[in-house]
Amino acid sequence: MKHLSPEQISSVVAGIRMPGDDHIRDCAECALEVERVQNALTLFRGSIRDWSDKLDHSEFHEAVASRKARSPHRAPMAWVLATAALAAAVAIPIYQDSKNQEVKAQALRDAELLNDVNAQLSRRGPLAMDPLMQLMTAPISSPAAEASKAHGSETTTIQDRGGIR
Amino acid sequence: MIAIQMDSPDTRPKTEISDFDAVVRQHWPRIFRFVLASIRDRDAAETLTQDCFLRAYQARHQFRGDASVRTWLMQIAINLVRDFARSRRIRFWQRVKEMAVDCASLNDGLAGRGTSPEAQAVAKEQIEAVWRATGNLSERQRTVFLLRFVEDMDLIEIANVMGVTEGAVKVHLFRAVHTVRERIGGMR
Repeated sequence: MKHLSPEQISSVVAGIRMPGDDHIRDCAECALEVERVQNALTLFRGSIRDWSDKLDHSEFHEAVASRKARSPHRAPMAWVLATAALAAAVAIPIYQDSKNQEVKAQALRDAELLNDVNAQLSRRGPLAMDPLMQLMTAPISSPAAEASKAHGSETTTIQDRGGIR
Repeated sequence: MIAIQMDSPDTRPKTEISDFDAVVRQHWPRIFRFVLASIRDRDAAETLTQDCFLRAYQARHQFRGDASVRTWLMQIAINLVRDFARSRRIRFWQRVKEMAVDCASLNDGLAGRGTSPEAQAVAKEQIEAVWRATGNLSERQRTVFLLRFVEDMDLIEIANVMGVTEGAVKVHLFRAVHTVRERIGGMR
């Protein structure tokens, strides 16, 4: 009688059918070898189960429960972030608008100041001399001038006669 | 509890995990046992099991119900174990080969089974031999071996869990059993 090969024995133990493994039904020797290996695997399984079952996992169940309980807080966190984004979306244009207005007002003030400066720079004389300047640029309305005007001569000013420039 | 709702228009089953606490209670022992047998470190096994359920909880809305919750959880656990082993490859293999402490824990359960001291000694020897043998298996072979002989999963379910074909599972399982059998002293 030809016995099962080591590969066939392993195959039977693994539960994988191979050609010729029907022999095991008629051969006590091969059946014993398969049973010996299966028994070792059963002991192995039992030992792992015993080892695993006797360990206390209560603290880890609690840990999972507490971590799981914390995770729903991510939803409110998402709402907080969304609200913050919305607030930023609203606030930023308002802030930018007010800033634009401030810039425009500042530009206006700057323009007025510049006009004042230009006005000062374009003076022909100091501010204190303005009345004199006005006097000198004003048309002469003395009686002689009136007489001259009456005689057809043109009005003359001090400036025209080489006065203050 | 797993609630199954039927969508009336296309009558496709839409499965969701409605009571996750029940899922944890039901599947924790099995997942922990698999992780513990894979990495042989109680603290790390508890941490990885915890991570497994946390990831499952966070991804529970993506669970489509194509596979069972057990298969889905085992897929997550296998990935975690693989990542753990790869990130600590040297320490992991050292631990796998240091069997003294683990085997002492494993053999505690033999004492109260009413067998003779001689039978207990033989059983202890066999358990240690299988443990040592599984420590020398490749990662995939060991995973297949544990799923088949510790978790009693059939070949198709193992294939689904590992994302490989049934043929590949058979190859890994055959090699694992053959190696283990040689290590525990095959009679021929």
